Amino acid sequence: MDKENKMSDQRRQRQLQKIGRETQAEFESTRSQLQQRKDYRPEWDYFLDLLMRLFYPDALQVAVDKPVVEHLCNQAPFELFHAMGVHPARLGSGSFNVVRVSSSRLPVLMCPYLKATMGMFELHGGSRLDRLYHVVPTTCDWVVKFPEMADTVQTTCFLELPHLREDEKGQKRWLEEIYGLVRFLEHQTGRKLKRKALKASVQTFMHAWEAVGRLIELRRRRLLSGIWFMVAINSFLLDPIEIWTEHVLKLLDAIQSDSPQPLHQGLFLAGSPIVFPNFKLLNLIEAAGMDVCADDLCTSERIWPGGVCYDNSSCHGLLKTLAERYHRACICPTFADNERRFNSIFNTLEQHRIRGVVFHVLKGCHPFDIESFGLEPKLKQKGYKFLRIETDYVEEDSRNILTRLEAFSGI
Amino acid sequence: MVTNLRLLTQHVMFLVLTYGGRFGISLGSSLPCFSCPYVLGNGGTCYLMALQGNWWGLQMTWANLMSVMGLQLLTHLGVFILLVIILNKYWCGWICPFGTLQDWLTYLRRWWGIREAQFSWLTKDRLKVIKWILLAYTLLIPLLIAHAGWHYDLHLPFCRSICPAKPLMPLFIGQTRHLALDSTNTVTLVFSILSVSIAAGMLVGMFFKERFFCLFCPLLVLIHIFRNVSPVRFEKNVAGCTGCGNCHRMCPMDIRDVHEQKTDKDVISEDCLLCMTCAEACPEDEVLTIKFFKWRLFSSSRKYMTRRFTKKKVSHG
Amino acid sequence: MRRSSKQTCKLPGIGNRLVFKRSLIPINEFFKPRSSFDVSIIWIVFILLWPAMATSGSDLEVGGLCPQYVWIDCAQQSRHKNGALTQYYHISHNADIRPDCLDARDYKVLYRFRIRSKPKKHPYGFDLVTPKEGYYSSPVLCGKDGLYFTIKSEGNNIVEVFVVASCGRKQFLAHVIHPIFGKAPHEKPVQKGAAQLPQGLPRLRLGPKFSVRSMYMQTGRAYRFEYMSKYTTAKSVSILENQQHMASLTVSDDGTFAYTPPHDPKLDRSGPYDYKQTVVLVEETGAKREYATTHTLLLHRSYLSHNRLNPGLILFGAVFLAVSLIVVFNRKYRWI
Repeated sequence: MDKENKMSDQRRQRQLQKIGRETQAEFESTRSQLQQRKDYRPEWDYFLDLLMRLFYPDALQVAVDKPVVEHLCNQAPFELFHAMGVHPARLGSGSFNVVRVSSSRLPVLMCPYLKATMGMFELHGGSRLDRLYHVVPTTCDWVVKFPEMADTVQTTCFLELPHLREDEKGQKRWLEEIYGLVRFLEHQTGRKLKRKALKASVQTFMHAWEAVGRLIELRRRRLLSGIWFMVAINSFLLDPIEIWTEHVLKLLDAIQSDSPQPLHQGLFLAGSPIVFPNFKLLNLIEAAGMDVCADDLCTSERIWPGGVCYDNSSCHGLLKTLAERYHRACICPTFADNERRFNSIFNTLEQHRIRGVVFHVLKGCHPFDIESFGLEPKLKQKGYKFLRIETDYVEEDSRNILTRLEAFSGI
Repeated sequence: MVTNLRLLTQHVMFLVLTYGGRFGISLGSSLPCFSCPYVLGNGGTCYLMALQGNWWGLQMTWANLMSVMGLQLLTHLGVFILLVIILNKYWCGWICPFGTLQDWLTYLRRWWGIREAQFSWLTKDRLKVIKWILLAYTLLIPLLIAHAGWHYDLHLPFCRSICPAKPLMPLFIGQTRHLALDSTNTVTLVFSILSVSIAAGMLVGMFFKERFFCLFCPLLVLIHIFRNVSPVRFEKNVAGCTGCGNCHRMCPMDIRDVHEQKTDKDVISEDCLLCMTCAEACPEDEVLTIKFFKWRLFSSSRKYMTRRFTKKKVSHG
Repeated sequence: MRRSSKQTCKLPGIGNRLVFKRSLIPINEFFKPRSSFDVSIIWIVFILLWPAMATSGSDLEVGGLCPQYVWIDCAQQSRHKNGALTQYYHISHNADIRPDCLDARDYKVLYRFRIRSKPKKHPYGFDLVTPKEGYYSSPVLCGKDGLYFTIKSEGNNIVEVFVVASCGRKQFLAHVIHPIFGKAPHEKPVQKGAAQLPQGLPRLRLGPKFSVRSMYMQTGRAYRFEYMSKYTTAKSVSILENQQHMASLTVSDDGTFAYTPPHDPKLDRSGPYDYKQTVVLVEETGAKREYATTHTLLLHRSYLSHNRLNPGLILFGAVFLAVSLIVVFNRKYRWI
């Protein structure tokens, strides 16, 4: 019996090593494809190096030189982690290969984003010694069950996310959760949250937001392609925020000094998250002669709700501000009172003369799936084009998607 | 920029309305703001005193109403209405010296890092009715003195028993006598006890809660009545609102109406001071707009919001 | 204090008076319709009494006696439609005797305005520019309450009124000074009058100088008077109020004396514009005549004397502390 178990473990190890090599190759090849693009410039190397840390988590640990707290989704305020002296690292993977690590133990129709995340988790389990805790807001069902599947329930701080946020009860409950997170972090780090540190963190992220705002502006003017924007924004939180912001500003100066030419026809990308190295849809969109000049993906433009403005600079006031900002401004479709979230899409379409929306749905991602059916008639009523693309972490449907995109661009 | 302009306007008007009389400035007695008449040497006085008073106000007999005094009443009322129509809520958010005092207390509290007191939504809604009650109190008692023979010591009921500006604003000219208890008779004693107690309570309230007294201000009600005829407009592009809630959070009066409004474009609510903080904090372009007739005075924008709330120096936490 | 609806007005300035006593002479009884027997009896009495009346002279004798003093009793005010204000005054003898209508010709009423100088620095300020000479006359009229006269003011003015009379050897001078708040939009410029005060009469003057604040005369405040007379004989000063002698004062060598009206609880319970009339009487015997000079003080309740600052500050501090503690201890989360 022991011998059988031992053999099974060895097989498992070999399987993991193989998948690890293939995943590494996947990361490297995606990176080199990007470096071979015509619009590549050396300033992008910094961001590409950061994206490799999604595969080499220890590199992140070394770079930030702080305890790292992993989190799912975007509702836990990043500023809070920063003020407590820990670095927030987002759990999420776009690797097609790493899905195989745990797919046999997971439902077939599970969200592939989380399957890949689980796979990466298992792949690097041994080296995650410093990641002693996780923060998980209870957004969708898969996210809620993730700690159980990853066997990290004991070290997870659950934040019970109220799905109704326009009423007082929901806001109060979320603030209680944030206070709970503060206590959790204080207990884990042995430090107290200081008002000045929190205020400074808010300002640090505001500077980052300002830089991102300028990037977005370039993108809207079609002077920055959707893929490169995704590269920059996916690398958010893979380095100390101050350093990342500096590099974004340098990049902006470099791009603007070149006076680049406007790119293809722009479109709006909405729906399920897209993370490096899963740039399949972005590449297909480019191949179809279009470019993503706006999106509201939670791993892209909406990776964090943006600038925080506060009038109450006490500790409680700042926490309340962060809680409200991360709760109310979140575009996640798990919220029940989410009707105004479409307004940002309509605004962007109107202001930047974008003709169409491509809605990306990952198989098993039910909230976005449902939302796409709500958005489509509203867009069509306003005269915009709409295309729903349901896909998975596979390459086999690429041709089919390309055909549909080409047809969409011609309409 | 809007905030700096507002700060400048508030401070200039505070000086003008508190000390202007000493330099020959007199903006009249029909001002729609709390420029206290008990501050000797002021540059203009609050209309509430005239409204309650027996010279130009409700405490006037029918006989006097039919004479030139009635004409003076109408003149003062007309000037008041005109001023309210032209500037509407700007009187509250940009000019009122008592509002400026409240803002100073707020800045002090923020500087010390003490957090603001919060009311629940239910409590806040319940508190709204108090300003109507105070307005009724302000209007009815002078009428009862004039026509039902109530004791004359009940005159100026709002100024002498409720308004916290009466004991507090004269402190800016070194006058403490309105903090004294007037033991002339029972009515004056009760009025002075109420006045001093309410001033003390309000001072605490104004420190812990931004613009606390404005929740109860009867002048706000009078100004709000004329909002529909005023050329000042505060509009929301409801289709552009993403529901981020910045406007609700930043509002000194904790007004939810701007955030919650999903159909109408007119969002100037009863408690609004037109301080324009919500429009400054709105991260979406051209969602909140303040207009004067057709001219756009200010419109929300993402760039402005980012610039406004990003400080230049950052200290690493 | 109960207000008499006929004799009070609801305007500030003079405002509401306390109830005062009516005249004791039943004048109206003489004029009701009578039978021929009654008329004949009246004529017989008249003829018998005629010599007595004829020998009394043309002065203010009542029953052959001169009154002790004459004083000006401020009565009601009447507001005109254009905003001008007319003040009514009664002429009274002693405590409560009203002179007969037949004596109207014996009184001389003189008044002048203390006009506002230009430019006006404050809407309710009086920059007192005293015309040195020149008074207006006002006719003395007969009403159902006795002799009265009126003074009309278009704008805000301070009026100074004198009533001069004589009775045998006695010379009377009554004086009052008070503001009249007229509200006419177009105020006619006040001219100097043509009449003059009789020379040689002793004068009782509030001094040493006027100020706006003294126009709101109030209890608890010291008022200095200056009695100007060419005689150096002894003078007696009496303070009379509500027909009662309240105090006696002595005149110093320079002719001045001071009086501080005490606080009156009844006046305190009335309104801020209610007043009571206190008469300051100075009597003097000269070489050939006796002089009775009165000044009517219109006293309001004290404006500031009842203010207690220390209890107010203690109350303020206590409420401040109590509310602060309630706010702080009711906080659920950390407050910093």
